[in-house]
Amino acid sequence: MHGKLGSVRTFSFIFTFIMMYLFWLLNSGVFEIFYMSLGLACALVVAYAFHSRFTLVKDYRHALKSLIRFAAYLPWITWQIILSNWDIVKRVLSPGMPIDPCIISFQSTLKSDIAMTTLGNSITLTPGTITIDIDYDGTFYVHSIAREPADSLLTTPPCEMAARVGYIFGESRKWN
Amino acid sequence: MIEVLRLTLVIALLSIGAFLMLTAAVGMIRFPDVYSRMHASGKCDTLGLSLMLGGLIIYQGFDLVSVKMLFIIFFVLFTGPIAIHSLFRAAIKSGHEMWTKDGWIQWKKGNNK
Repeated sequence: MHGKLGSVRTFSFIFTFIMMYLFWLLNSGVFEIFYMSLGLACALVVAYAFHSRFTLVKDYRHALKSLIRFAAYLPWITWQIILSNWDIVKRVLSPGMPIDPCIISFQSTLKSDIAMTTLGNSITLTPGTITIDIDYDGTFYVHSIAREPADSLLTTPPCEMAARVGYIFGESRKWN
Repeated sequence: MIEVLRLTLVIALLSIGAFLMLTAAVGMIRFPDVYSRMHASGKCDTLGLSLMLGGLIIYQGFDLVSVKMLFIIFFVLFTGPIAIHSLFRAAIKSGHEMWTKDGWIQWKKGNNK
């Protein structure tokens, strides 16, 4: 038990350290020994202090799988962001201003914190909806600018976005 | 020729980004309440900023400066929704009224409409 926990901590420490040092190098752009060792010291301190908070995926054997699936999810969510902006632009600039705000809630089957966070952020980024609150049991409260975005979020009963996010973190099967 | 295409792309991205920012500002003025205003400002700002920075990255070419701009896009895309969400929650907790078609209502968790 202790050994497994220890290896997870080592992994998260090394991962955080590499990310922090890369971030330092790319931001400084000065590759002299003095500045690079300064960055090394800073990255070590930061990694020591924050590695348990920085590495969100606790089981690192699934982390790579999740990362690949998340990369596959990105094009879809980007397209959704563009659609959402087009939707808002239409609503803002049309003379009649067709808005009908309402608040809906729905239950999702997601369990882990990171899956719920990802779904909450995705809902906020997609057409006309903003996450207000998430309960521990996976209930989402969503503010919607009009009826149609809310309906499109709810109608397909295991809603597409929740299924996609659940698939990323291995909590539900493939969405189609 | 390539240079002209590149600059055209840069100009297109910058203009679309600026247009989205302008739309966000117009939405801030036109929409009726705190909550719908957040829809306008939050979303259009996120994509507008990303597009403008994307245009600047293409203009700059690939070097350390454009990597820094990539970092900015990344962080804005991640923190934007969180900022909107926490602003939204604060507004709900302090009891701001919400505009609906049937009039102003006060929403609380539990009495769902």
